Amino acid sequence: MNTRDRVLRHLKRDEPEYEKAASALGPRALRWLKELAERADPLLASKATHLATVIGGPGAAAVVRAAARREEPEVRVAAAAAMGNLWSAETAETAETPEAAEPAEATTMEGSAGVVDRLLDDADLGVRKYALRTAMKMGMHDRVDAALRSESTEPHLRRMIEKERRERP
Amino acid sequence: MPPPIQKRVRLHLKVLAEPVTFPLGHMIEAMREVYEAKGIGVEVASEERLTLPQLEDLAVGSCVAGSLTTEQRRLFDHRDQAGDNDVCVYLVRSTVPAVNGCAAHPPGRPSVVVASRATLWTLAHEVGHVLGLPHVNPTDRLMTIRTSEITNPPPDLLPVEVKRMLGSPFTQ
Repeated sequence: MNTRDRVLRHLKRDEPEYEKAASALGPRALRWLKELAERADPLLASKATHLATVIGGPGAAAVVRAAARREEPEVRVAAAAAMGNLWSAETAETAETPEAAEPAEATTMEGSAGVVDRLLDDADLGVRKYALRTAMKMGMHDRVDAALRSESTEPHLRRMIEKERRERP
Repeated sequence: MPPPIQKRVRLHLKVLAEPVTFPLGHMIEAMREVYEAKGIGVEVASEERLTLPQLEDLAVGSCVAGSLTTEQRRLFDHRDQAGDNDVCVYLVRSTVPAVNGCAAHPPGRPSVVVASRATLWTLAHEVGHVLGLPHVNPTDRLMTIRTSEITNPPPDLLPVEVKRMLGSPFTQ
């Protein structure tokens, strides 16, 4: 079975086992995950996006960027959430994977912040919720403050994020 | 001739986001087709729209019963008139990370979450988990790990699975 088919076998599970899939597939899966993030149905694209960031490394950033550009909001939700994983993975792995599939804009914290910054202004509430969580995780405090102060931020979302912020260690 | 109904599973449908790939009614009918062929009735005890936009894309973490997220706990507080042994079905737009459905629930609050782009069989599959069924490999069975690839639909339930379901407190 080739890598693409193996990727699909993992992601077509109703409940993918992401950690096991990442271990089994490794970075060579990232080019296929990017293709899925770009073109697959939204559920499969969302699964591909998350799996890419569990695998981590520079090639994963291209997958998240592709997902962040998708028209379907639930794929952008996956991108916003996965960026938090990616940022953690970047800090640990960037220097170790110079051969990764595609050197990417978002392989630095600055690049990741740019993607998150765009998602913080997304029209969709779900996307903004996960972008806010990722921005908190990345220490983008000024940007989170600005988003929470914005009149366009729904009161229930503001309350939820402010509560989570207070409870962060 | 289907067998007589021995017990029923009572569902309370809580719609945060309308299913996209298959209408909810088709999922219920698909579930009935599988369950009632084995003498387990499927009763829709209530259906309501839940206006909780902040939970439409639900964080489910590792989707394990012992490690529920804050969002799952908040959502599962919405049981309204559901009895202790009734199963609440929460239809959300998506989950993070993405899964078709998730059956992890707190003790005493049997619940499943189904994503809007789930398959025709995901609802029946997730409720199967609540009734005690684990995953299996054969692709002609309800509890197969890939319900999108079910062969020879409707999928099967083996006698040992039916026995376990009938022994669950969540069939009444």
